[in-house]
Amino acid sequence: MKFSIVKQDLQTKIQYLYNIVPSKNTMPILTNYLIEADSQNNLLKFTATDLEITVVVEFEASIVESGKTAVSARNLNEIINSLPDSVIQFRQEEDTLKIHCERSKFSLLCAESNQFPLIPQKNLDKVIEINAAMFKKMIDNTHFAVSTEINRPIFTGIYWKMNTDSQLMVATDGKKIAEFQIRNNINIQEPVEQIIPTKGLLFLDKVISEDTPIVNVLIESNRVMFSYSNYTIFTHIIEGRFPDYTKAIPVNNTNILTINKNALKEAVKRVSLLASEDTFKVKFELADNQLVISSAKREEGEAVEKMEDYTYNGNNLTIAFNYRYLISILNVIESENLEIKMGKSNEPALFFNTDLDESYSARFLLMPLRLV
Amino acid sequence: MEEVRKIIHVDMDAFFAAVYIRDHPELKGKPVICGGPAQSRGVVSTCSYEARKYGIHSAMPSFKAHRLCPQGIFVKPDFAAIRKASQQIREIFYEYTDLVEPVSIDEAYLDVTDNNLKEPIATNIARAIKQKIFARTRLTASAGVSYNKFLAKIGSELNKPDGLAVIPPSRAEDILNNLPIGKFHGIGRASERKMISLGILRGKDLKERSLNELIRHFGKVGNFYYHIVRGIDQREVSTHRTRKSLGCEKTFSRDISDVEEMLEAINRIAEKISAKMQENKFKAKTLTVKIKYANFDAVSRSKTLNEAFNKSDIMHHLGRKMLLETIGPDCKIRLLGLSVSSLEWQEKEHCRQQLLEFYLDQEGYELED
Repeated sequence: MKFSIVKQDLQTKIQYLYNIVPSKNTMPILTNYLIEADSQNNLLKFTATDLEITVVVEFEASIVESGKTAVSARNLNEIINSLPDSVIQFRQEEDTLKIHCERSKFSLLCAESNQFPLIPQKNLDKVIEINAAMFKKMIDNTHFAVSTEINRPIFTGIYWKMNTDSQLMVATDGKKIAEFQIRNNINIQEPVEQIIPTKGLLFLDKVISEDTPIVNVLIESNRVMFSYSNYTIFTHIIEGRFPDYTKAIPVNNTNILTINKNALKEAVKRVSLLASEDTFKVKFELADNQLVISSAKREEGEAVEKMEDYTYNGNNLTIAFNYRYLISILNVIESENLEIKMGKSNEPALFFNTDLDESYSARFLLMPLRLV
Repeated sequence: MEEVRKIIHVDMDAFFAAVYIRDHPELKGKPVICGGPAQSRGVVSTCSYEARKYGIHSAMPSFKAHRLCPQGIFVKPDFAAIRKASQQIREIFYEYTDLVEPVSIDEAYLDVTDNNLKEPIATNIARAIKQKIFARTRLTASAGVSYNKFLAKIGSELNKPDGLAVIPPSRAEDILNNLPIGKFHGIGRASERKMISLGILRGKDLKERSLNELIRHFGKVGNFYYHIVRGIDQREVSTHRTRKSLGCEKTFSRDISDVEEMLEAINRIAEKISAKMQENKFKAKTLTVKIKYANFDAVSRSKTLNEAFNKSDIMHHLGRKMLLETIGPDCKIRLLGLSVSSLEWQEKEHCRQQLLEFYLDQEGYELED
C-alpha cells in the first residue's frame, strides 16, 4: 500500500473518526483504524468501529499502490495532528506503516487487518433522502437530554420518528424531555420509528455542513445506515419501545413567564455561582409583581437577582431548578424571548421558543427540584 | 364559586377477554377466561361476562376458576392486540381533551370541563367516545359522567357492560347512601372488613360517623372517607404522576412453611428494593409486608419509622419482625412482598431532582421475581 495526501485534507476528513474508537479496550483490534487504498479509483477509506457504530470515511488521495492495513488510531491521530501543513506519504512495508512528511519519519506497527470486524456494504438502493440541515437541527435540539444510565438503554438513544410529512426527535433522562419536530415531506410509505444511539447521531451532527444538503438513510431490521458526503455510518438500533412520554407533558400549566433568553441565562449563570453543589438549585420566586432568582450555599453565602423586563401571567409561585439542566435548555432556545409555562412548584415546567420558523416546533420539559 | 367540573371515567368491558373474543369470534358467547392456565398457580386477569356468571372474577386463582366453571376456556391474553387497542382508545380520548389520566391499560379519567369540541354536555362526549371506541376497535366500553373522579368511576360501573351512567349532584346522594361500603374508592378488603365490624355496611352508615371517629379508626385516610361519602373528591385529573411507593414481591413455586425460607425471601426482596432506592437516591419511612397464604387470604402489615431508611438490613429486620408477628405456626405461604412508601428524597436540604414516572417505570431489569 502506498499513497500520499495533503495533511489538512486528511485531517479534516478523519477529525471526528477518533470519537468512534472505543475508549474501553475490550477487543484490541478495535483501537485501530482500518485503512484501505484503492489505486484504480484513487480512493482512500478509513474505518473505525466499536461494533455498535461503524463509520467509514472515503475520500480521494493519490494512490500509487492498493492495499489494506490496520494501525493504532490514537498514534495515527496524534501523528497527523502534529505534522506540518504539507504532503504526507504513507507506505506499508510488511508489518509497518511508514509515514513521511517533510523532515519527519514515523513507522507504526500494523495490526492484522483481517481481524478487523466485517464492515457492512454501503447500499444506496432504497435510501430515504432527508434534509441534512433539518436533521442536524433535530439532533442539536434533543441530544442534550439523553440519559446516560445504561440500565435504561432505551433512554440512552434519541427516539426518531419519520412520518410522510414530518419528523420528530425526542430524548429524555427522566428529569427533562426535549422534543423537536419538523414539517417536511419524506418519501416513505408509512411512518417509521426507532431509537438511535446518540453516538452515531452526534457523529453525523458534527460532519453535517452546508456543502451537502442531503443525508441518505437506509433502515434495516436492526440497523440504520446514514450516508452523507464522504461518510457512511452504520449504527445499531436500540431495542424496545419508547414509552408514551407525551402523557407526562402537562397541558394545563397556566403560570406563564415570558422573558428575554439571554437576560435569563446571564442571571441564572450569575446566581448559580452560589448554588449548592449537591442540588445545583436556583430558586425562582414569582410574587407581588416581582421575579427574584436566588441561590444559597451553606456556610458560603447567597445570591439574589431581581429580574426586569418580563411578563408574567399567573399565580404567586416558588419553583426551583437544577441550573445546569435549566441552562442546557436555554442553550437550545433560539428565539430572543422564551416562554416558560409552569404549574405548581413540584410540577413539570415547559419551555418554548416564542418565535420559531413555522416548519419547526419544539417543546422542552424540566422537572423542578422538590421544595421543602 | 368554583366551576363544576365535568369528569368522565371510561372503563373497557372485560378488556383482555373482549379483545381475545373479538379476534376469535368462534368463542363468542362462551365463558372465556384470560390469565394463567387452569392447572397452573396463575390467576385470572379478566374473564368474559359469560364466565362471570359462574362467580369467576379477576385475581381469582385459575384452578379455582376451573373448579367453578370446568367448561371455561382458558386463554393467554394477546398482549400485542391489547396494546394496540389500548393505544387506539387513548388516541380517541385525546381527540376530546388533553386532560387524560390513564389509570391502567383499559381505564382512564378525562376532564372535559374545557374540551376540544367546546361541547357543554359531557354526556354527549361520553356517548361519542363509546361509539368511536366501538367503531375503531369493535370493543365496548362503559362510561361514567359526574363532577368528580370518584363518582365518575362509580358511574362507569353502574350499567356495565356497554353502559353509560350520569351522576349529577342531585343523584349523587342517593347513590352514595346505598353504595356497599367495599365499593368506595380506597376501601380495600381489609378496610371493608373493619367497616363492617363497625356496623358500616353502606354509604349512609358511613355518613353517620363523625370525622373524629373515622380518623380515630382509620387514621388520616378517615378524612378522605368522610368527604368522599359526601360526594367531595377534589382529586384532579392528573396527566403526570410521580412515584409514591416501590414494591417487589415473590410468588413461590410451591407453598412454603419453613420460616427460614421466608426470611431468606424477605432478605432477597429487601436487597432488591434497597438497591433500587440507592440507585434512585431516595429513602422511605414506611415498610409494608404483604403475605398471601396458601388459601389466598392476604394480609399486609406496615411499620413507619421516624427516620427514613434505604438499607436492606433495616428492611430485613422490620420485615422479619412483622412477618413473625403475623404468621401463625404451620402456616403455608404462597407469596411474600415488601414495599416502601412515605418516600423522602435523599439529597441535602431535602431538595431533590424530581423524576418523571414513565422514566422510572422503564427499568432495564425486572424487579419482580
